Amino acid sequence: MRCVRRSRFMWIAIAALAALAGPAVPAAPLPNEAALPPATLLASDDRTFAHMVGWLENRVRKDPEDFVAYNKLAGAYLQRLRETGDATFLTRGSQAARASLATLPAERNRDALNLLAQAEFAAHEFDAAREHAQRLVRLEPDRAHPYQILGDALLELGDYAAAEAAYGQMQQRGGVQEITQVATHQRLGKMAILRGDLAAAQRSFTQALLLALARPDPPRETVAWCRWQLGETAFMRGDYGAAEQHYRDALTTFPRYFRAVASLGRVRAARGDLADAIVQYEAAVKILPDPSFVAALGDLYLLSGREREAARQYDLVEAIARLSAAGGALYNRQQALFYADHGREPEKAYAMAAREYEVRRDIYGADAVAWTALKAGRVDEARAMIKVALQLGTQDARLLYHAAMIANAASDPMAARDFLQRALALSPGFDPLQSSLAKNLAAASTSPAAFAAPKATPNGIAAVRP
Amino acid sequence: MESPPSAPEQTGVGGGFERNLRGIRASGLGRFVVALILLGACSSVAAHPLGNNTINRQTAIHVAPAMVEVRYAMDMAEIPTFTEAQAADTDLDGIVSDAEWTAYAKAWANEVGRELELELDGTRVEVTLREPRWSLAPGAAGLFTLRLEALFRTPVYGTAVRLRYRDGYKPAQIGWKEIYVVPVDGAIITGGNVAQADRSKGLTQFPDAPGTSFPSELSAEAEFALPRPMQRAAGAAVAAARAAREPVVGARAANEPFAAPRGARASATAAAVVRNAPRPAVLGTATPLDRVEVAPPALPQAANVADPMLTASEEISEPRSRTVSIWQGAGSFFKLGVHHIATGWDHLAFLLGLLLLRQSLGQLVRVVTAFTVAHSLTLAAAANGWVTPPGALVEPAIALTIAYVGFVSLVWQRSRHSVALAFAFGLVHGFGFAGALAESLGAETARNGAWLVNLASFNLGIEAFQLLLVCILVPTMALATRYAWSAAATRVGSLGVLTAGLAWFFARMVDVF
Repeated sequence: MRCVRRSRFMWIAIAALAALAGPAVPAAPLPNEAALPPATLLASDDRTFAHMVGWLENRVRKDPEDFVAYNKLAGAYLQRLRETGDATFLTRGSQAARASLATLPAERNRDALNLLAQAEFAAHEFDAAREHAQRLVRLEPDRAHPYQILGDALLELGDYAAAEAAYGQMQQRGGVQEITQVATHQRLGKMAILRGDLAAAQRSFTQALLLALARPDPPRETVAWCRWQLGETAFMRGDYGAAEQHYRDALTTFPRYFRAVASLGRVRAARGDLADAIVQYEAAVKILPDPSFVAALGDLYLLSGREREAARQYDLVEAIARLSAAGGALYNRQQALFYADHGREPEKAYAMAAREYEVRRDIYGADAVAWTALKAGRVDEARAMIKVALQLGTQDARLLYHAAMIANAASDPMAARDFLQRALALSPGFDPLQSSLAKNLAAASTSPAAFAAPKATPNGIAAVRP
Repeated sequence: MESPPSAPEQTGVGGGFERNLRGIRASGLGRFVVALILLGACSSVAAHPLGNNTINRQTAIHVAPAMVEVRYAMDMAEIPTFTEAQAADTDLDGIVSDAEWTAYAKAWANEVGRELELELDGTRVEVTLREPRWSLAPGAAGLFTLRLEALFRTPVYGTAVRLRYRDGYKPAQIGWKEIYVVPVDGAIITGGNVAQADRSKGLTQFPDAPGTSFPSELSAEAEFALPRPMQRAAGAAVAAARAAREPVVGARAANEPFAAPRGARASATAAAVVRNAPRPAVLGTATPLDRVEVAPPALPQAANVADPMLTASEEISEPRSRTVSIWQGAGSFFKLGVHHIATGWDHLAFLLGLLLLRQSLGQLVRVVTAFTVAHSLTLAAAANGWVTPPGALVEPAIALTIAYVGFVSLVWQRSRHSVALAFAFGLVHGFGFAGALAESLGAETARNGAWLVNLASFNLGIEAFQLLLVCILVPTMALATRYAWSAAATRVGSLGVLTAGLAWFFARMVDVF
């Protein structure tokens, strides 16, 4: 009951915030996803891109003070980064934006400042991105895009009220431009997910997708991103059939789109097809060895009884983490969660998560602290932090599962069972390995005495061996 | 400002990893390598500025008379090296031995070979990569980078080659993808779209300032004119063709298929130790194959010079059927002709001398025609083998004709016998052209009837360029006669032609003796 009341209070708070943020969501009802046209392959612009980048690079070689060419180059590189996840493009985009600013200062070169902020955002330098976005807001208070990047940075830093306010400003200023509308709806969708309103999120992403498709030359990555987000939303509410269809649509639009490939693997696993899930994750890892993909692939191997291959994937995760640290990355939330999920290095994982939370206070950061604290035996801190993680009412089965495990460790079996039931009712296959642990726990929890047992095996992996 | 979604990950997906482009730190890599030296990290930063998930590749296509060689090199950054090491560990003991790496490199070469497409004159050639080599170098964070190399050779017939190359091996893999061609031993590139420079210095340096693009080349086209393999070249070709059948070391000695391109990295790399065998300090140049397969450096001394293609190993198959029309070759020979005259300063000087003579337009036409007919005659005769010009004397003689024309133009300014003069001297110049062409007109082409077409094309190329010059120079000079300085200019020109002719004469006489 307390939970319900709190979430009601939350809604009032949201409504108040939304009112503060200015003219909010359009009054007209947003379309639902049934209105979506079937997915079609959108042409790759590789050739145009290569041609344009070649031309621009030539241009800045001949005239190193051509800041317009630098800006266009930076924009093209960052777009490529979004499409491929290839860090090379991040370096290049950042370089080009800085070269442009070196030629002409930000006061007269606002595009370059915006691009620099975007590059910093992509590099997860959210503090720097926020500062530059704030400067951009001062320089161009009447335009939408400064508020867009400002809101994005604030969101990642966990300043949700300010982020929502910035998005409100963005919406107010960019009302007529189609692409700004697309960007606005994408952000409203993300906000709605955080607030736990999955239906609203679905409507926002659908609207963004329709607007993007209505453009004369629909941007491939934008369309695929919207379809992928629709899939993520469906996955969160446990509608795996719809989620799979969205992921497949994203891949029809943009083959080899790495986010959709990995998510397809996850939903295949959730639907019980481990073999196909492995195929998808193997493909995703080949495109981009993102540690979260690699770790998930390892989990799938483990669940299939392929321990040696699982161990190889886990080794690779560790190697990537070492490279990451060697490259100067200060925080590595993925690594901390990987440790916690697999019962490794509990103290180190907790220290990593806690250090990051000092500078980046988003709900998933709080969740990372809570989850690693639990594994490190700091149950009280875990309890405090998981409350913070759940403050927005986010309907994420993983968060609820963490809350269940923490409540269990805190000898509150009633709360534990409640969280666990909510997690499994929401999305029973939220994660290949963790959801099987959750199901084992739920099966054991029919007798209250057995429910407390998993404390003995904090990593729990042994329990899921088939 | 168009700003598509940045798609931030709520769970921090891609966090540290995405921003981690390069790095320095030493610790243990898995278990298959025991120790390494910190210094290596500096060089690895230089070697892999494209991030530690890239696989950089480079194809160098060497085209020589009678042989095309494809050199394929791949350089993997830390993450792909790590995963490939896992794949290479076939006995699953957690350690990749030299033998396992060697087996891995062989499998790699086979796989790449299947994905490469090479077409010579429109005919697909099956590519079998051979002599695979591997080496490890210390990378960031105590990890390693892997370099793989292999090569492919195929004989090439005729004197004009149209080459198409396509690299279908993991085309979507991110990384530097570079293709370039190297003409060797007198081969000339006459067309195509392929670069001729080694931009990454054998995948060791990657310009990354803004404004320098990193290539993403997966296909290339090139056209070559090849000189006919003469005695000297044939020796090398036989050696190379033989070496193609020999194991690793012999082939390396034969024509240095791999220069050690990683000086920069090697110099900063102190040493790395692999479990069993102490590895030499310079990993890049000392490959395991040097130790494993030591074959005698079999370098046959041109046993059968007449037919450099006398090799019947399984890779070097019989001559390709010439499915392309002879007109393809004709195009190349036309270009070769243009190329020859446009860069043949002696012929141009002679032509200028003839034009400087004071004469009517009709006479000029007759002079140029006579020169053309005469050199076509001797060119045909010599190229067909009917006449064998004394090569040593032709070149100085050509120089003398230039000097003479310059002299006549300077002193008498006209000649009553200019037509006869042009004809006689044209004969000499024809021998000179024949010398250039003889290297390109192979015996094979004679057999299949393309010979005459090629000869005519070559000559047409010469004439076309010559005609172009006449059409530009004659009106210009006609206009110039209106001005007072034209006489002086004519004299200066004549003097120049005379001087150049004399200079060439002496220089060539020195060559003769």
